[in-house]
Amino acid sequence: MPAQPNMKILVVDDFSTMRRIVKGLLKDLGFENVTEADDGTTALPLLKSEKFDLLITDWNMPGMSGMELLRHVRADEHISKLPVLMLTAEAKRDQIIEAAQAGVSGYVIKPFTAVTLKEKIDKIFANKTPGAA
Amino acid sequence: MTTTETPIKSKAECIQALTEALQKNDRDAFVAALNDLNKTASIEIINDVREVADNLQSALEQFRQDSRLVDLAENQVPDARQRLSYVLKLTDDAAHQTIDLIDKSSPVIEKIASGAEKLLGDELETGGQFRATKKDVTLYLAETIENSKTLRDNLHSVLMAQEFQDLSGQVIRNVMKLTDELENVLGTLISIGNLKDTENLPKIERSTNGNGPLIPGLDNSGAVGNQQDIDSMLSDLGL
Repeated sequence: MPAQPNMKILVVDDFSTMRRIVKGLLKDLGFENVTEADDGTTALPLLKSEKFDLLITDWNMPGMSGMELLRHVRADEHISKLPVLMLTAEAKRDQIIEAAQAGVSGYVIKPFTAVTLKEKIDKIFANKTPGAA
Repeated sequence: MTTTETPIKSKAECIQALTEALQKNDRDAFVAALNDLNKTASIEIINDVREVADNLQSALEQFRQDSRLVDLAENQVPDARQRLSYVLKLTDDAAHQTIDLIDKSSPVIEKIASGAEKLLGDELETGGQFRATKKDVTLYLAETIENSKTLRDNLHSVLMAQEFQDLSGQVIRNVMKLTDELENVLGTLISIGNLKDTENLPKIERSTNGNGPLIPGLDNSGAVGNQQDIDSMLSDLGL
């Protein structure tokens, strides 16, 4: 199942400029239904109350980090299947293993390009079987 | 006790006198030699104590000179924090300003492109017959001049938004000077306090909140090079 243009995406980053950049790139890719949050603490209630199709999150944020957010998502049975794309400057080997073990769906390091972002989103949704939550 | 001042004898001299007194069975000489030895030992202890006190004194003196540390801790460091948060604000403002201008410019470019496509499309539809009226073309050209002016102004504003680089660069250089000074003062403190043994210090734990971007040349340990490396690593992990 390819990524649907009307799918609902939550972008979590503590820097508003980065959120705007990601939002702009997503718009160029045809995804207009984008909501923003500035860290895990504000993102989690949104994820629990509204149904999102994709979470794109930074790692290093004050309050709740992206890694903690990922763990919360995977631990909550209602949203545990949500695809999570990590978009972060963290690029250490053990961190990437940590993210993979926590169940991340894709990993993009900053600085990144529009092509990489598109590739990873396509890959996540290509791997998803139709009908899966 | 009012004894006449006798020169301080060395330990060896005292022991020599003791031995002689013993051999001669001279009780008075023996007691005198014992007193001398006692005096010599006391003087040695006093000298040791004096040396320790001198060292302490000079250490305290040095520490007082380094009251610069107090100024650094109380004023300069909080000051630097404010300066850096100003840099954060400058870069944030500049980035937003630039993105705003791009957002404003995109529809203008769209207008220029779609106007031209429309004129050209009309022509192609009629198989080479230029169907647009002179009025259409004139209107489009006038709009394009206006739109170009808007774009030129926006580009100029993008250029001006980059002036943060100069200002933030100056602030960051000042903060770097401060960290140099802190390094010096802390280095002195370490040498005074003999704090060189760092082996038993507790390790600072990496927070779960990440480390921020890798700085080229600084954090190469355990770093994965680029997106391709990460992709192949993740695919090895089954992702």
